[in-house]
Parts: sequence; structure tokens; C-alpha cells
Amino acid sequence: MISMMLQFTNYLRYEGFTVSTAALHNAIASLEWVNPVKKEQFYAAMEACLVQNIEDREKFSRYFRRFFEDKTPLAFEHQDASFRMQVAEFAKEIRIDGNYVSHIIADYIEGDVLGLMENIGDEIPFRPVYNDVASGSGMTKEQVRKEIIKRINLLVDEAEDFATVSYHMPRDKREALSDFLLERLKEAAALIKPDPFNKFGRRQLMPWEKQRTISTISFDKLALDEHEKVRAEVEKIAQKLKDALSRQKRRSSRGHIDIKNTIRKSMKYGGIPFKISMKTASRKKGKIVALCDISMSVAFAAQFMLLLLYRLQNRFSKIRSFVFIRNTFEISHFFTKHPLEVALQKAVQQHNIGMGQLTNYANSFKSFLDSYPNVINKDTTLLIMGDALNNHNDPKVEYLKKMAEKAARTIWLNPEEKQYWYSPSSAVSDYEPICTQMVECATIDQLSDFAKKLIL
Amino acid sequence: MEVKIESIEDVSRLLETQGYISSIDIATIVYLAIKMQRPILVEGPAGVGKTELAKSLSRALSLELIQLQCYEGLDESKAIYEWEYAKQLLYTQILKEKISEVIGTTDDLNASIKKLVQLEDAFFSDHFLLARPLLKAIRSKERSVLLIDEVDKSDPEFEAYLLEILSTNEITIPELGTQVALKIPIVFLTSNNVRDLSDALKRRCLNLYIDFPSPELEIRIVTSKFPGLSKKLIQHLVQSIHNIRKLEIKKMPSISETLDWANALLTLQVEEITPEDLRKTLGIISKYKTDMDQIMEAADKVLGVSA
Repeated sequence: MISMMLQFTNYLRYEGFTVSTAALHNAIASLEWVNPVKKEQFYAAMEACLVQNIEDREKFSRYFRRFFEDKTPLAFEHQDASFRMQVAEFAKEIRIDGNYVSHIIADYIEGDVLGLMENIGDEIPFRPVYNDVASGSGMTKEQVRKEIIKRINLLVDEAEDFATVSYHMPRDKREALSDFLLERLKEAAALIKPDPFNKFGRRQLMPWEKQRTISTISFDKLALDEHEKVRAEVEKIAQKLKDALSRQKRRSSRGHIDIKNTIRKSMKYGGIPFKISMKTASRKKGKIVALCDISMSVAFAAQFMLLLLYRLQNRFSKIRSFVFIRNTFEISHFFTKHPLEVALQKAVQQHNIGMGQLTNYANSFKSFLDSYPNVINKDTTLLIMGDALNNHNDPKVEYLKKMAEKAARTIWLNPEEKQYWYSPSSAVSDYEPICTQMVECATIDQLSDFAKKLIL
Repeated sequence: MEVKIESIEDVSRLLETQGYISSIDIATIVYLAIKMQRPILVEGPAGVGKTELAKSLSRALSLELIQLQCYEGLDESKAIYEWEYAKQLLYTQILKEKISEVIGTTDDLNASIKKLVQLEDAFFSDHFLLARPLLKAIRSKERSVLLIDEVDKSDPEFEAYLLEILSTNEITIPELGTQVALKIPIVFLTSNNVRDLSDALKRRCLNLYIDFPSPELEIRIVTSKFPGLSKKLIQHLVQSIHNIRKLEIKKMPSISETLDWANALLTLQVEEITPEDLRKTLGIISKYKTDMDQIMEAADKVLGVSA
């Protein structure tokens, strides 16, 4: 059974699944307590030991099925006593010659799989001895396997004959018995044959299977199936930033002793400082107003930024989010009604603001000022996410200037790589001087750096 | 007296005596954890019975339950042990004269310090040690069930403290030395996946994921808790809950909400759930106004009423 486990983990690793040695050790140890023939128990134990991430459960289930499906012995619990007695009788006949191999096959037919499984896979130095017959065989696994296959080939005919002459059983039972015995023998032969999965190391991945380092790929160059991975990555960044924030908060609260307060409190105890007071530095939370261009070229970048902002919303006193192409619309209400993932989809896709049209920044800024004149105040950090491709429209910088004057700071996140910023259709050169900062935010790494600077 | 467990079926049966209906996965992994003396990391959505599993097992095995509720900022002084600073200070004040007597006979500073060092052990002894849940479990003379609840809410640094305890069943207190577990506790760690736990921690545990139960299992759970409800009503209730889980809502109703709803329907003596009953009891199933609106909008679909 141990060699089978090794084979299975080799197979998992071959398919790119990470299985640590400790996990394999656990899985092997668990076999002492679960019955491998009981599929559900066995599966639960293997999953508990070998799967460490929830996301891998589905993949594991697939690989498990593929590996073990054809190798799990048929159960015959639902058959009646006479059927079982006949099976036992056939097993007894096989055992008569006293051969080690015959014992293994007979055990297998009766449902004891350990002897057979012991002889699967390569020779291993720490092979435990499960039964006395095995220890006395004196054969290598390879020899045992050959012998088993040879013996099974002979037994196929014998099994059929045995079932046919079991006259005390009705005909349908005899047929069922014949099928059962043949199936069992076929199973044992399949199990013992050299296994294609018994390879070490990972297989050579095809070019399209190779994982790209998504953290450094521009958002607009991501493949569709990579968006989900980026989303998961953004979640992780948010969590890391939260951890960093809480560490910072703890450090600041235990860093300095509040002498005045400590002395005052010690008066109760005759001047002995039983209770030490610490200074807690409170940091003012800012308000965020995010304006996102959601035209096709930058829509995904906007989604990722919003996702990160909302995951960090405790850090801010308030977040209000807006989207634009030619006009600006508020989407904050989506985030109060729906879970974040759904809200993002709905906010970016399900409103009627002229998807497919060309972006007009001047028009969008004007409509923002007209429709939401009091949103920005002196505590506000104004974040604008867009590539500033104004499609040769007049940039009308006065609108952005007006917004920037009201806000504490204006940060422009440009998901376009810096080398393309100053193209003729771009308004970067017009808008950049007005902003406190214009930063390139084309990849996850850059988004993470920006968020760090924003909140820490 | 500890109850003996000899098979997976024993686990199922014992949990059932405490009103916890377990799936084969749960029973198998709990059995393995007991036999292999490994901690279980239980993950899954809120309200599916992660904490209840540990509580039920402790009751079923008649073992003490030691619970550590994790939160952001939890540190070793709240989780493992703490020296009682105030008590130590108080004793030094009370024993001031005694200490003076001990030191009084010495001639120089060095000799005084040497004498004081001898006293140090008295102030860093069990008497001044405040054992927190983890140390309590390690020092417990009887086997206990240690529940480290919502471990994902604690900071990553705290996980490092757990590693020593989970892998070696020891805690090192610099002043007292290494404390080895007298009886290895059955450890449950629960997580709602607020953040990824470290691989080092996961590697030391058996991983159990409890998802929302299948309709059949949920029917069994409700039936065992509320035998007074009719079979037809329970089926309708569970099916409705499963329909609600298919909606795009913020918080899906979990088993605890199913049970609360069943209790409410029993109290109101409802025999068949109508949209009006659903509206009246909606606050039990859902905690968000927006979710409630969505559920009511789809009331017919939820209750399986053909228009």
C-alpha cells in the first residue's frame, strides 16, 4: 500500500500538484486507521492529508478519481450469504497449492487488497511486512507481479467453470458469480501491471500550460483565464497590507510610554507604577474618491484597483467610486448592495454609459463636477485611473484643475506602460502637471506598491 | 472517564448523541486526528458547524473544552502565558522588609545581587504564572479538547507561536524551561479563510473543509433537532434554503440559520411555508437588508411556488 501511495503522490506531482513529504508521511500513517476498500473513508483521509489549499480540492478529486477509479476492488456486500460462500470456496480452491502468489489472488478476490498492493510499484527499502506469507516469498516484486499475471491468466477459465458448475445456485446467480470472479481477476491484473503514472518528477509542460508570472504582466496583456488569478492575487495583496497596517498600529501603541498618565495612575498604589500607560497614536483616516475610466483599454485595471480599495476600506473614512467613458456615473451603491465580486461586475458592465464609445476625459470631468459638485473636500484623496487617451478631444484642463484644487491630493494611476504615455492622442502631458503624482500602474506589482504608499 | 473510540462509526455515533450529524468526511478526519494525534484545521463558510464540531466532540468524550478565540492583535500573553506583573510587584512590596533582611547582612553590592538572584526563582515560579488557554491545554492532567477558533483572524506572527505547540506539543517558557504536554490534547483550529494561513501551519494539520451540507444531510440535521416538525415541512424548508443559496446574495444562510428558521416555524406553528411566512421570518435567514430584498423578490422561486 505504501508503494501505491508513493505512486499516487508521484502522479500528483507529475500533474503539477504540490505534495510535501510531510503530507505524504501523514497520508501513509493514516492508512493504519482507514480501510482503503471503503472509498469514502479513504478519499476523506487522503484529502485531509494531501490537500492543503481549498482551491485544490476539485483538482485533487479529479486526479484521485483518475488514479483510483479503476483500481478500487468491487464490493460484494450487497450479495447474499450463498454467493459469498461460493466466492470463499473459489478462493479456497486457489489457495490449495500453498503458493504465495495464489494466496495474494485469493485474498484479493475475498476483498483483502493489501497483499496485492504490497507488490505494486518499485522496490522500496522500508517496506513493512503485512503478512507472513509475503515475508516468506523470497521473490522480488517484479517476479511476484509476473507470477500473478501468469496465474490470473490460468484462473480466468477456472473461474468461469467454477461458476457454471455451482448448480445449487439459480442460473442468474451463477452468471453474477462468474461476472464477479472474472471482474475481480481482471481488476487484479490491471492493478499489478506496470503503471504509466509511475514516473518521478514533473512532466514537461506544454508552452500553453506554463504559468506566466502574472504579477509582472500588464493588465491589458492578461489572458482571460488569468483575470481570476490576478483577482486572487489582489486579494492577497489586500490581506498583506492589512497585516502590515495592524503591525504598524500595534508597534505605535506599544512604542512610547505615556509618563504623565502612568504617574497619575500610580498614585492609587502609593506611587508604584502597577499599570503602565502607552501613548496611542491615532491616524486620521482619509476619504477616497476614485474615478475610473472603464473603456475597453483599461476596464480590467479599474476593476483590480477598485477591488483593492474596497478590500482596504476600513483604512479610509469613506470611499466613493465613479466610472466614466464620456460621462461620469457613481457606482458606490453597487458595493453596498452586492458582495464585492458581484458588485464589481455589475458596476463595470451593467450600466448604460456607452460602452464601446471613445473616451472623452474633458466631458467626463465636466459631468462629474456638474453632477457631484460636493463630493470632493479638503480631506479627499482623488484617485483617477485611466490611460489619458483622450482621442484628440480638447483636454480642457480647467475641469481637472478645479477638482484638484478642492482635493487634498490628486493621484493619477496610469495602466499604460510609461513609454506610451506621450503619444499624440494622449493627454498625459496636459493633465500630469495638475496632479500631485502620476504613477504607472500596469501590473499587480505596481498596483501593490501604490497601495502600500497610499495607506502605510 | 474518557470514552473509547475504536472506529469511524464510533465517532459518527458519539457526535450524533450530541445532536451533531456528521458526514463521512468529518467522522473519518476526526477519527484520524484522534488516532494520529494530529490537529485538525477546519475550514468553511461561517455557520456550518466548525466550532460546534469541537464542542460536540468534547461533550461526547466528556473532555474539558479549552477555547482560544483569536482576533487581530492576539499575542502570546493572551494565548499562552503571562507573568502577573502586578502580583509580583505587590509581593515585593509586602515582602520588602524580608528582602531587606536577606540583603541586610551582606557587605557589598555584588554580594547583595547574588543573594537577590537566589530570590529570583521565587518570583518567576508557577505562583506568578497566569496560564492562558494554550498552556492550560498543555498542562492539563486529563486529555482535553483545545479549540483555537478563527485562527485566520490572528496575525501571521501568532501562527509562529502555534507551530511549536502543534508539532511538538511543547511550550517553552524561558524562565521555567520547556513544558511538555502531560496528555496530548485533541486540537481543532477553525478558519473562515479571511486570510491564507501559512503552509507551515497547514502542513502540521489534517485539513477538513466543511461546506454547506447536501439537502439529505441538512434534512437529517433539522429532523434530529426538531422532531416535532413534519417531514414535508422540513423538506420544503431545506429546499427553500438551498434555493436561497443559489441567489447572488452577500451572506448565504448556513446551517445555524436553517435551524433558527426551523425553530421559528415551529414556534409560529406553521404547517406550510407561504411567501407571507417567509417575509415574517426573513430576519432569521438573512442579516442584510439588500439580501432580504433579493430573497423576497424571488420568493416564489425560493419556495418553489409555481406562478
